Parts: sequence; C-alpha cells; structure tokens
Amino acid sequence: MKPIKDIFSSHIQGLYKGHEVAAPGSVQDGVFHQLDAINGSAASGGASGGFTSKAVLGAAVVIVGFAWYLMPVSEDQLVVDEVEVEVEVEVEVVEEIAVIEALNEVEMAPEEVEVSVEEPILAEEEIQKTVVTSVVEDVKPEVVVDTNVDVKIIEEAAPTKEAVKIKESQEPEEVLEWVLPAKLEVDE
Amino acid sequence: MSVEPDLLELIEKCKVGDRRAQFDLYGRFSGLMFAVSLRYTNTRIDAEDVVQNAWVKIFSKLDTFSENNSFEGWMRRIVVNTAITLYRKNKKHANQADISEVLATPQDIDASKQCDFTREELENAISRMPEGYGVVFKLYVIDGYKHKEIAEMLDIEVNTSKSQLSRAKKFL
Repeated sequence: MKPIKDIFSSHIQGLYKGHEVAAPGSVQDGVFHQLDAINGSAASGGASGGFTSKAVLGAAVVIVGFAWYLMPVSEDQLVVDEVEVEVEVEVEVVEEIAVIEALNEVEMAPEEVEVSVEEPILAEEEIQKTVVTSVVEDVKPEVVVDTNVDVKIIEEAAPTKEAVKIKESQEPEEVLEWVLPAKLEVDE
Repeated sequence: MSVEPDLLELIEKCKVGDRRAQFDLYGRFSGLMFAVSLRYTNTRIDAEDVVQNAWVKIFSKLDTFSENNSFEGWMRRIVVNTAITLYRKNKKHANQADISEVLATPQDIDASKQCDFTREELENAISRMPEGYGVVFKLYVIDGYKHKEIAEMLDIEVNTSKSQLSRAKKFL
C-alpha cells in the first residue's frame, strides 16, 4: 500500500496551476531599489577604494612637499630642533638613574652574603660546645666499665676471697671519687 | 525541459544588468511568484517581504540557473525557500509527532475520491489546520516536493513529514 497522491494531488495541483495574484507596486519598487543599492554599493565600493587610495597618496604628496618647502633655514624650525635635543637629554638621564639603581642593588647583595657567612661560624661553635658536653656524658658509663675491669685484675691478684671482697668494696668507692672530679673539670 | 528562446534571451539580458529586461522578467512572473509567496505566509505583508527578497535573489543568482531546467520551477523554488526560511524563524515546534511509517488509510482513499472542492475552499481548510500540517501539505501536494526535500527544508524527520501530511489529509 502506497501513499495516495494521484487523483487528490493532481486535482489540487490543477487548482493552483497558473494561479496568479497581482503583486502591489511597492514590491516592484522595493525589488529594484534593493537591486540598485546592491549594484551601487558594488560599483561605489571599487570606485571608493580607488578614490581613497588616490586621496591618501595625494595628501601624502602635499604634506611631504610642504615639509620640504619648510626645510630651508627658518627660526621656527631651529626652535623645533632644540626641543628635540632636550627631549633626548631627558631620556639619557632616565637611563643613568636606572643604571645607578641597578648598581646599588648589586652592592647590597655582597653585604647580605657576608652576614650569612658569619652566622654559620657561630653555629659551628655552638655545635662544638654541645659535642663536648655529650662526650662527657658518654664518659660516665665507660668509667664504670673500667672499674669492673680493675676489679677483675684485683681478683686475679688476690690471694683469698675475703681479701678480694674487701678490696672490691673499697676500690669502686675510690674510682667513683676519681670520676666525679673529672666531670667537674670538663664542664668548666 | 528547455527554456523558451525569448525567455532565454530575456534571462541573458538580465544577467548583464539590463534594467529593461529585468522589468520585463519581473512583469512576466510577478503574479505567479506572489501567489506562491501568499500560500506560504500568514499575512500579506509577510508575503510581500518574501517575494521582494526572493526577486532580489532571482536577479542576483541568474548565473546559477541551468537552461536545462524549468525557469518557472527554479524561481518558484527560490520563493518557497525564502518563505520557508521566514516560517522556520517564526515556527513553534508544536503539533509534530514522529511515526515509523505512514501508509495510505481508508480515510485517505475516501479523501482522494472527494475532489470536488474549489481552491478557495481548500485554502480555507488549510488555514484552519495546524501550521505544521499545512506547510507539509502545501509543499508535498501543491508544489510537488518529496518528503526528503520537505524534511531538509523544514529541518524535520522524513517520517514527521509523512505523518503531518497524513494528518493534514485527515483534517481535510
């Protein structure tokens, strides 16, 4: 089954065949005014481009010629030259200031570096002090160990157990007495 | 289909900007083109705007016309496209529905048998139907466009064009 188009469509197409409605005169005027505008803009576009380029060239020639005419010595022109020189001087001053500022900045940099060099030296001294104190603290256990060693030697040399015991009890006390003064000296 | 010799001569003169030839060409087809414009617009003012813009396009694009085609058909297509452009600007996407396929129904066949209406009666009926139906109906039935062409012109699916044509026929 296909969409119907035959009789129905042909009848309707027949109704509209050759059907005309008179267009108002304003449409015709609008059409040809619009065409004139398009053609006019296209034509004047090329012409105006040529005219503007010629006008610019002509104006440039006139200005250059006038300037050339004024080039011979005249007071007005001399004044203008002086003004130009002053402007150049001002520009140079500005550049010098900029250079001085740059030099100041460069001088300041080494000062900062010296300060930073001193600070590490102080830090090293502090480190040495701390190292000394730590060594002293570490000495304590070593001294105790040495007393034990001495005790062993005494044991080997002792003839009797009772004598050894007495020496053991006495000698550590003496060793401790030697250790304590050593600590005090180092701390000072 | 070839163009009549006198019309071809007129067209050639119009191509080179002969204003008298342009007046002649306009006078020869202005009534026909204005009728087409009136068919696809809601108001006479819109129709005048459409046909004026269409005529400017016709004169500006005469170089693209191929002599092997119908000159009247070529101009009619420009007017319809101009009107459809205006329609698409103003259209609201209402009363559009897609269906997979539309086949002739018994109602369509009955409608096809009732061909005793006049153009005025048909235009009254078209003016009362939803705008989407009416545009598809006019493009397909009156001006002979294919559903694919209508879909491209109105930026709708082919099946939408078919469904709206079917509903327009039922509406009539």
